[in-house]
Amino acid sequence: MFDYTDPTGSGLLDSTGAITNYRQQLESFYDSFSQIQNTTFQKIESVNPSLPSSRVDTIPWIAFPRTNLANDDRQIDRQRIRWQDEYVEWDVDRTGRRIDRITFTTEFVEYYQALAKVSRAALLDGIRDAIPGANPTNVELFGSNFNPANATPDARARRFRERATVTQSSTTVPNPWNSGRKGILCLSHRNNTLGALFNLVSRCAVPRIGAAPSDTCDLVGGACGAGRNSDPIVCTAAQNAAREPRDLTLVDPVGVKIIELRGIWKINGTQIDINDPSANQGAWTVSRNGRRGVLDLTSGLTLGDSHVRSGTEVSRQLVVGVDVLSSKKTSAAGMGIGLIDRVSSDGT
Amino acid sequence: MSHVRIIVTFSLLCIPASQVSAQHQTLLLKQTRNTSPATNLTAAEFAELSDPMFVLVLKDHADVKKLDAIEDLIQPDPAKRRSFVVSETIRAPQRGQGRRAVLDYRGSNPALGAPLDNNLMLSVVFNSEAFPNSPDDGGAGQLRFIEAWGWDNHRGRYNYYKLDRSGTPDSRMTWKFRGSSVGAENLSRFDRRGTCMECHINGAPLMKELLFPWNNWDSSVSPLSYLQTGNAATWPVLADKRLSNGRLRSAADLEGSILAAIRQFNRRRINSALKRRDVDGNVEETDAGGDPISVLRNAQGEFVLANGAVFDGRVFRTVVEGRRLLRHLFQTTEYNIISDRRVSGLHPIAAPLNQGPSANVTIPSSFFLNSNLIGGGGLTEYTGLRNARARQFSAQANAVVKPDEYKTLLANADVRINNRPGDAHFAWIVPEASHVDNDTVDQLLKEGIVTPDFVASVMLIDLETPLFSDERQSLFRFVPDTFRFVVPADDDDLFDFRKFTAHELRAKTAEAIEATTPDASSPAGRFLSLLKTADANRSPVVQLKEATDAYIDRVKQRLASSADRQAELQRLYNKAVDVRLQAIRHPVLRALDETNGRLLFPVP
Repeated sequence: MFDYTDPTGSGLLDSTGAITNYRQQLESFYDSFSQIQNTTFQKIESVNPSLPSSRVDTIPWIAFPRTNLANDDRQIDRQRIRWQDEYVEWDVDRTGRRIDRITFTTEFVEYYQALAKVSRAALLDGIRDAIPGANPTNVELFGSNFNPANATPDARARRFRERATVTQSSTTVPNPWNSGRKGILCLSHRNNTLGALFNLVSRCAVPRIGAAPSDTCDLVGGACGAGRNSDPIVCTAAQNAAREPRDLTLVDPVGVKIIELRGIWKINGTQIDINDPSANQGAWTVSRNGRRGVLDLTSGLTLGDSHVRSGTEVSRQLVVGVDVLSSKKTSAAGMGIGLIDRVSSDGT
Repeated sequence: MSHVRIIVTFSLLCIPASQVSAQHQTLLLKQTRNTSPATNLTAAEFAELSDPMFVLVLKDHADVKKLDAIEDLIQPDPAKRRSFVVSETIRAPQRGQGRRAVLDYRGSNPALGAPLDNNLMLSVVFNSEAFPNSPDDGGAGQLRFIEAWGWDNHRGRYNYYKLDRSGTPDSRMTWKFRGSSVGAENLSRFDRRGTCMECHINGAPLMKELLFPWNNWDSSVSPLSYLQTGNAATWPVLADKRLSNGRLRSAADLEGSILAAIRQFNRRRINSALKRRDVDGNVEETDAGGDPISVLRNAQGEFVLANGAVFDGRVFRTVVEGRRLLRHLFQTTEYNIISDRRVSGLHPIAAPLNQGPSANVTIPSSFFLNSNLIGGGGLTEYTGLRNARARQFSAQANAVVKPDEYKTLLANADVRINNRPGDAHFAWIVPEASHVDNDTVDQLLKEGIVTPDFVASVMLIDLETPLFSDERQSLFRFVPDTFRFVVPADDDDLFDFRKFTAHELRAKTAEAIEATTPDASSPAGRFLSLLKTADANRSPVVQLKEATDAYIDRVKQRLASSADRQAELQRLYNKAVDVRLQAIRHPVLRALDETNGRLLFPVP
C-alpha cells in the first residue's frame, strides 16, 4: 500500500495512530477507480513521476457555485448544503451586520473519519487542530444514544460522517462544529465527496474519440455535473490526458487545495497583495496544506472599494484546484482504450 | 513662432540616431496615432504619468527594449509572471503561425509600493518557433512590438504605451506614450483611428471573449495540444520560459483580472462624474435640506459624522455628468462574445472533427435579452434586477438545438469562417452586452444613481434586442446631465418602489420626454408611460418580469411545437447572424474585429 500522506500537513494522523486508517480509505479509492473499464486512471504508484514525459498539472476552478439559482448571495451563504457544490464550502462569522471572518474549507470528511476510528480523543485533537479551543460534546459529534467509548471504530467513523455531512437520508448537518453554528470542519454537501472526485477523474479518463474533450462531461452519466465550475474543467483535463494517451492519477496528498484569491483587495483604501502572507497584514491566512482559508475582515479589508457583504462574494474571487500527475503510456498493450466511433447524445 | 517651433522639433527627429545625445535616446516619446510622428513629451505630460508601467520601466529606462529586461524591471520573480494566449486561428496546430500573448504580473515590487495585480499588462506576438525577446534578434525571435497598459490609481485612468519602430524617421525602436483613457468614450470614429482607443473604446482593458468558454483563448476548457509538453505536435516555442514551468495559464485566470480591472475603472469614472466640494475636491454630500454634510461609511455600512456619531438622515449626492454614465444603459458602447460551451465540431480551422456538435447546443441566455444585467448574480456579481428566470432564460425556454438541426441552420445561413463553410470552435457564438456597459449600470444601481425600476423601464424598450437597439438609443437624448440622488444605506432596499418615484433622474427624464409630446406607441411614449407608473404592483420591475415570462413562454412554445420549431430555430439563428454582422459592420466597434470579418464570427 502506498504511503499516502496527511492531507493537512499537520502530522496529526501519524501522531494519533490514524494514518493507517486513512491510508486504507485512500487505497480503496485508488484501487476501485483504477479498475473502471478502459480508464487511464491509475493507482498512484503506477504513475512514475520521474519519467521525462511526466508532469503535474494543477486544474483550477472558481469556488463560486455556478449551479446556484439563489437570488441573493447571502442565501448561498445560509444554504450551504444546498448551493455550495464546487468542492469548497464556507462559513461566515458576523457581529451584527458586520462580517468578521469567512472560513473556507476543502477538506474531505475521510480525514476526520480516520481519527474517529482511532478514538474520540483523536477526533477531538483533529477538531481542535482545525478550530482552536473547540470543545465538542459527544452528542454534538455522534448524536444521542451513542457511546463512542464502547462503539467499534467503524461505527464511530460512520456515525461521525452521518452527522457531519448530508447523507442519502438526511438534509441537514447536525454536527454544529461543521454546520457553521459553531464552526466549519470539512465538506458536507452531498456532491462534495472524495468518492465523487475520484469517480469524476476516473470516468472522464476513459478516452472517447468522436466527441470533443469538453463534451465528455455530458457523456459520463452522473459522474460529472455539467453545470458546475469544477467538474467540466477537471473532466476535460482528464479526457485530454487520456487521449494522448497518458496514465494519470491524483497527486498525493489527494484533495482540493486553495490556490489564490483574485481581485483588488485593499486595507483602509490601500491596495495589498492579498496572497502574500508577509504583505496582507493577516487578512488572508491559508493553512492545513491549502485546505483551509480564513479571510479576516476586521482590519478594514475591502474588495475593491466595497465592504464584503457575503462569503459568496468572496467565492467569486477564490481559485481552488486539484493536482493530477500523468505520464505518457509507453505502449498500446494494456491500454484498454475503448475507441468510440460516434457518440450519441445520450452518451452511449 | 509656432512654425519655428515645429521646424525645430522635426529637425531633432531628423538627426540620425547616432548623433542624438544619449539623453534623447532615453526619452519616452508620445505618439497620437500609428502613422503620426513621435514627439517629445512635455515636462507637464511627463509629470502626469504615474502608472506602474511608467514608474517601473519607462520613467528611467525608456531605452530598455528587451522583453527579458523589461520583465525583470516589472517583476523580478519569474514565478509571479503569467502568460495567456489568444488567436482567432488558435485551433490550428500547424507550425509557422503567430499567436498573441498577454503577459501579466502578480505580487509586489518594492519600487512600486503597491501590488502589480490587475495594474499592468503587456501584449506581444510570438510564433510557433520562438518567443520574441529583442528587436536585435533575427528571424522568428525578433521582437517587433510590445503593447502595454498601466493603471494610474492616483488619477483613475489607464495609460497606454507601445514599443515599436513607427513614428521615428530612422525607424528605431522607441517607447511611446499612446494616450490615456481620459475622455476615450467621447472620441469620434475619426479620432480613434490608429490609436489604442480604436479597440479600447471606453479606455478600459479589453478581453472580448471575457466569459466562459473563452472562444479563441487557450483555456482549461479547451486546452491546445500544441501548447502542452510531451506531444508530437508540441510547438518548439513551448520551451520558452514565458510559456513553460506553469507560466502559461488558462483564460479563466485572466477573466478574473479583467473583471476586477474594469470594475475598478468604472467605479472611478462614476466617482469622477459626481459634484465635488470646492474646498477639498471630495464628493459633495448634502442633507435633505441641501446643507453640506461630511460623512463616512463604517464597516457596518452606517453613515457616521466626523465626531463618530451615526448620521441617520438621508445623504444626497449630485451627478454632474449623467449622460456620460447613462450612455451604458441606453447604448451598446462595447460588446463581449459569448457562446455555448458545446464544441461546434464545424470549425474549419480545427483538427478534423467536422461532424457537428456531439450533443445538443444550448443557445446562450444573453442572446435573447440582457440576461446578465436583468438576472443579476452569477460570476460577474451584478446586483442587476434579480430576475432569476431571465438569468436562466435558455433553461427556462428549453432553448436547445439538436446536432442535426444545428448543422442545418448553419447550412441554410451559409455562414463561413475564413471563407470556408463552418462555425466558430464553440457553438452559437454571438456578441453579448459588455461587462463595461453592464458593470457601469450595475454600479450605478448599487450607488443609488439609478433605481432598478428606471433600469427596468429602459430594458423594457426593445427587450428582445439586447444589443444595438435603435429604440433604446433614441431615448438617450432625454437623459439629464445633472440630478441629485440619495446614497443608499447599507440595509436600504434598492428595489423599494418609492425610491423610483422620488428619484430626480426619473422626474427630469420624464419631463424632457413630455416636452416633446410623443405618440403613446412610440419608444419615447412607452418609456414615458413606464416612468410615470404610480402603482407599485405595476412597477417597471414587475412589468419586466411579466414581459420576460411571456417571452420565455413564447420561445418555449414555438420550440416545442413541431409545426413551428424549425421556423423558430431558423429565425433565431438568422437573428444571431444579424447581430454578428451588426458588430463587424458597426462604424466604431468594427475595429474589435482584427480579421476584417473573416474569422471572428461565422457570417455569410
